[in-house]
Amino acid sequence: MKNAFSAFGFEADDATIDTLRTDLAFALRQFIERSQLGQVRVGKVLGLKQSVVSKIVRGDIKNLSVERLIRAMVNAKITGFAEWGESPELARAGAGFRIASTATIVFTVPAGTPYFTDKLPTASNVGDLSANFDLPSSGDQSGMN
Amino acid sequence: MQERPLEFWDQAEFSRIVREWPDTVRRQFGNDLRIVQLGGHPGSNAKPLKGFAIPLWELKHREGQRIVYCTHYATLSGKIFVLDAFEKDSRDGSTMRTSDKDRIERRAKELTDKMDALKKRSNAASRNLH
Repeated sequence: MKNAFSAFGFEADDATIDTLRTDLAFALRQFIERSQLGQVRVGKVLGLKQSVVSKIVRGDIKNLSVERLIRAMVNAKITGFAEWGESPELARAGAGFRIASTATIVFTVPAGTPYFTDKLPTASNVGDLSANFDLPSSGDQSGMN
Repeated sequence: MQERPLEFWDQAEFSRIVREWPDTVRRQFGNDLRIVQLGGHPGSNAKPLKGFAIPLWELKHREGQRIVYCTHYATLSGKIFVLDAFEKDSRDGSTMRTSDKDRIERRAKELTDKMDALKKRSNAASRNLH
């Protein structure tokens, strides 16, 4: 899949930031349109001027930073996410929760042998892992670095 | 939310054309196409074009008083196909050169033929499975 900003000649870092900005602004636009509050009132909820709300709705976001958009989402108590990867095609952001795109790899092994997971065990989470999978107890981590 | 994939008629040619465009214009087009990818409408920058084999959209941005930049795309089978990009001569950007119109028309027709061929092949494959 190609990234829209890369296609228009932007380097990976710029394309990633621009993608995140567009995605966040699009999430805000959907919030504004669904709220049916009017631009002045919804602007107060978001902590933005009516003129800025109007620009977001029209897709004119060239002067809006990712930080400002996130601040607006936090002001309105909108849960959101932002993620990026090695290439701009992997960048995405939005409202709500993003379901992890990569599968968690967990090998069920007999207690006491090394195991691998993308969630590194710590003192606080090893108990949770052990509850769901057949993993060594927190006191038996001899094979793990 | 499922993003719609972007496909370009000729990525190398497209890159060569838009490389010369101002940053602000390229960024605005990127923003518009990303919104289309997310399933939204880019707003007043996008206008439907009539008289083509498939429903085509024209994205238009102006730089200064004179130059108008355009990108044309179609949404088919859940994908966005960007068919062309060029500068328009006319002051308001409403008139299209005959050569530009003919090229878009030809590409739209070829795209429709390709999509039809793909559909037929996929139907034949599913028939063979049963």
